[in-house]
Amino acid sequence: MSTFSPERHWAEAFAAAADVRAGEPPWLEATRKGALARFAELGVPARKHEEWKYTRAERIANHPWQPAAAASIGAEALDELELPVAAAPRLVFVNGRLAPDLSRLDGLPPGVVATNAGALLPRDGAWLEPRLDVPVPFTDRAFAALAVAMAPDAAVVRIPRDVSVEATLWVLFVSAPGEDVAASPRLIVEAEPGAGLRLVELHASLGASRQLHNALTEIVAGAAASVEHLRLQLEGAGTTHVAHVHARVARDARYASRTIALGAELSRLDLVVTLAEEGAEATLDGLYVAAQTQHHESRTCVDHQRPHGTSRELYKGVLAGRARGVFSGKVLVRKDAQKSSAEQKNENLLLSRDAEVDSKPQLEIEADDVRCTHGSTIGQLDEDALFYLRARGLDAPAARALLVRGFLGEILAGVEDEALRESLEARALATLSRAGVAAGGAP
Amino acid sequence: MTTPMLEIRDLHVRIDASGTGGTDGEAILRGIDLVLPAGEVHAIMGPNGSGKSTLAHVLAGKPGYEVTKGEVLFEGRDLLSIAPEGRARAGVFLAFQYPVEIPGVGNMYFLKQAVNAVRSHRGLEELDAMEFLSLAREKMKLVEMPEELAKRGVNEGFSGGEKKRNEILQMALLDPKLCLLDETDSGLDIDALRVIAGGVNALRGPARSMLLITHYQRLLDYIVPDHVHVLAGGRIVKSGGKELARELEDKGYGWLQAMRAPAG
Amino acid sequence: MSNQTLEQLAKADYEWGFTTDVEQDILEPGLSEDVIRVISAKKSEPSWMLDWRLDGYRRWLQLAEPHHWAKLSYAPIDYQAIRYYAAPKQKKQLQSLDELDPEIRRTYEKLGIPLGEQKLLANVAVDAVFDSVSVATTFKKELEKHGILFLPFSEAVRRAPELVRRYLGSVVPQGDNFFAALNSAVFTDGSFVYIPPGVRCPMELSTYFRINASETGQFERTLIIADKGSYVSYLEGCTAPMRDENQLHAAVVELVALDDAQIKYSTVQNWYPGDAEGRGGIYNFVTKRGKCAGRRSKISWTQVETGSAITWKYPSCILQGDDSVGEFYSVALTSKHQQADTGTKMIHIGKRTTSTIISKGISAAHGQNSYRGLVRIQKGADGARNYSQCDSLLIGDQCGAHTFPYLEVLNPTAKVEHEATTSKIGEDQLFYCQQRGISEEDAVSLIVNGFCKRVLKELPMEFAVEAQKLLGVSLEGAVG
Repeated sequence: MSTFSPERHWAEAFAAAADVRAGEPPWLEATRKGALARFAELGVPARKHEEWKYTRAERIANHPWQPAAAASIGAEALDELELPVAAAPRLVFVNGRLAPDLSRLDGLPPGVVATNAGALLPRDGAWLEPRLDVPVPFTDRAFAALAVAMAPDAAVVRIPRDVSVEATLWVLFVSAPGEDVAASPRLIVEAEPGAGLRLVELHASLGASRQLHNALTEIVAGAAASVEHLRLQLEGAGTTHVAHVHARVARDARYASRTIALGAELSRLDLVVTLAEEGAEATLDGLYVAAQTQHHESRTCVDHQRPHGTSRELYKGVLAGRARGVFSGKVLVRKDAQKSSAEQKNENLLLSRDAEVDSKPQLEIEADDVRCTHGSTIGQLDEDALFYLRARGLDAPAARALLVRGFLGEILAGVEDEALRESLEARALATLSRAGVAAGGAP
Repeated sequence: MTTPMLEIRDLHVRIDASGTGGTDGEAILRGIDLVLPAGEVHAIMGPNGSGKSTLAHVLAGKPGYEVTKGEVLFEGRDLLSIAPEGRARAGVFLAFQYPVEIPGVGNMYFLKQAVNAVRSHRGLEELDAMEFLSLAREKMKLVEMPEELAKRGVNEGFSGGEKKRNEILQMALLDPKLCLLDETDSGLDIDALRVIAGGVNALRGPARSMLLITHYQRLLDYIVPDHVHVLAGGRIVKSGGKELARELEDKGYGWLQAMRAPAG
Repeated sequence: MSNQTLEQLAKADYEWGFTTDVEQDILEPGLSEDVIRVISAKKSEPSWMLDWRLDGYRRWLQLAEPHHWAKLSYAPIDYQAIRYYAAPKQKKQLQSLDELDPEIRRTYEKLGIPLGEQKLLANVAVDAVFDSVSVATTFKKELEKHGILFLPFSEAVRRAPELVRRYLGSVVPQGDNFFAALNSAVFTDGSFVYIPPGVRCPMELSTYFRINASETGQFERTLIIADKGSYVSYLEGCTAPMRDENQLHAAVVELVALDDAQIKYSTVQNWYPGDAEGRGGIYNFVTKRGKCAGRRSKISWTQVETGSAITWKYPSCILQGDDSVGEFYSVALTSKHQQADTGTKMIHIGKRTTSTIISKGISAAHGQNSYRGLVRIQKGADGARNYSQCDSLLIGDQCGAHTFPYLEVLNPTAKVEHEATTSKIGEDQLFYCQQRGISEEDAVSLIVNGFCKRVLKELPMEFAVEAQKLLGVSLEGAVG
């Protein structure tokens, strides 16, 4: 039995990476050290931990990951992703560091900040300081603390008051091939009051190396701001993807989250949406598709803190092969959050004998004047519908594929960019057809 | 002169938001005067937002309103100091614009509770299950209510028309003196309207008064009122005979709103 | 009807809160192997029973109190401050029920449970458990004609040792959880039921539990075995005196249904809930589990939980036999400062097993109500079905309602559906009722009974009426 200690391992890795942090202000070093101490103190969650009941944290942490070094990739690598990013304004991060030559930011309205924290530090350190610490809802999450300690840089997007960005802004986190490396991509987004932003956050790896990506995203939607956030997890087959995403939604602001997880061997998303002020609104849509031995866990928490908040959530999962899908969704309505309305739904499709789904929707209601519902279903394709299609002449695989497409469609339909939507659908179906189901893909 | 069924004197009402943590709302009724003698049917018409439904709610005692001035006499007694159920037992009936669903509570059971609450208040014997059932069956014919609806939960899964029938059925069973019909015609097709109007007309009588609250004149083709009042900006701006309704239908409410006295 | 309800509502808070003055045979507080030996000796148990208890005790010492996951908060329990045995002194073996201590007889009469043979509840056989021991069991002879055993547990150990040894702990093993282990060590009495093959039990069987002595815990154990093709309906009721201290109740109920057998188990739990400030009340930590061991067997749990300061219980079904059926119908009401964390587990193992969960939680005053339920479809459970519905009703703004379902599905042919809603008693609904002449309190009990109807109709008649009254009384003062 080896006596590998993740806490000791990361303390050593942190010390060894001092050069990466050279030139950082003392407060940032203090923030990082604080986060590292927090990680050591929290430790890797044991299996008994209610939040880690279905995904074993040791499976993620008990490995001697080495922090990813800086790497550069060519523009052709972006083409490999087969995503419609060529014309889009974008920030590209490789191994957690900005790749200026791959990024393009022309056409953004004046005043919009889209850059890396490193570039911002000399002039906007005071603004960054609180934002670079562990986001409040994640102070007790070991992996979020580790990300704060280890992230070499961060993408920063800031939309000034009352400015609406027309184009969809992409932030791409790409990791270069390399065995046993760990990357810590970080994203900080702030839409000031009245601002509008459509954002795509992409996580992808080049190749199928065994890697850990420990991602951390913090989004603020100021009063009456609108943020649409599409988060794509299209990692390679060797990747373990751990993500913490927090969105704070202010008065009368709207946050629309759509998370699509198709890649990685093991992935876990922790999404917390705080409806922090009156009249805040959030929608959370999610899709997870897993086949073979993939394991995907989506954890969401919508925290209604103030009155008249609205949230609506729909997470859908398709599991094939020996895959396991986990959904854990919490709706919290606090004492002060009267007149809140919350809807949550989780639907799962199990396509094979060896796949497994665990669904844990939760309502925690402390206010009395609320309307909250949740629902969860787990089942297979509707036999009657299959028969109906076959009676209309489709063969069984085509009929199945059609039904699966319909199931995915409810979430994918919200992806406005048609090329992107089609690409995502093709990927999802390809994943499933590799597992021998839903073959047929596009008709 | 005999005591009128209902007398409203200089009634001022505003939204009472004290319970919800908000600020108190603006005045909705700004000095209503109305006399409704026994046996008469009056219609209150007016554009949306004129305060028609508020008037019905205040008369029935719905929480959330504050009477800032004025008084309301029911058979010469102060109405506003009585609890909602007390008003109902005394004979004030409100047919709701949006009848409320109460899942799981059987419609017949609910009606029996209500009828016996009213009867015992009036010093009458409570009806047992059999007596009540035969009374209910008789009244159900009046509004052509299918037996099947009686078995469901109160208004649970009823269509708009079924809910309105259920309201008139309740009115027939509770035998009220003063009927307030709040937008009873809304959401009804002509056939349903005819049935419901027939039920209401059957209940007219010398000892019963009715206040019909409606936006449209259509209802008044079937239930012909003795008087028509026009409500705008929280006041009655015009009163007249049944022909006033026709005039409103032709001209709309615009010409009357111009007549609205300056707000106090 | 409405007058009657009003009368009920107007009554004092907890009308079952009196104490009975009887001579006690009581143990000093504290728990050790010696205490367990004394309990076993008092009951003249065979050595295998004592060994079984000691095994439970040793497991208990290894286990930690389950604090981390349940949404409950209470001061730590001092297990050495509890008396583990209290019984009214009996001079000799009773020859007939007429020899029962008149004080105890009066107690049960006050509770509405007459024990004199001539006044027996029509068609209900009662086992009356007073603190740690069974004091009376009615209709024994009538039942024995059908081969049915309905015995105090301690008597069953003597009279049906092979059945007890075979099934005791077969559904809830000694080391299952902290409270079950404690119960295994110190359980004093409870009911034992055996229904022979093909017998449909001709009457409702019922146990009425009464805590009387102070500082005591109640640890009863119930074991029901329905042999092939048999049917039994079993009812359980409970009350306790009003005391400022908290008292612990840690029971274990095990049900076994063989091929084609059916067990219907109903509970109206009305332990003392504590006062309006949250002082006193019973801590109710109960493990109830049934095993549908046979094909086409069925176990149905119905519970109305209105009492206790703390309720921690998850009546569960292990659906092992193919085509077996599990049901859970629950109304849990928390008012005052009560806390309830309750629900069920449905473990689908056999093929085409089906389960239904209907849970209705009502929170009023400072009550905290959590539904926690697990539906697990094992790999081999082809064609398994589950439907769950969990609704919460809130009355007032100091209470809370929480829903924690866990759905774990390992078989693609299964179909699992879960729905939940949380809402408050609408002001619109109250006003509508008032406008029809129904007072606010009547309207609330009308709406609450409507909300609970789906569950209440599962209860046997007499219990349903009792439960409706209880809901009304428990809500008194919570509105307005």
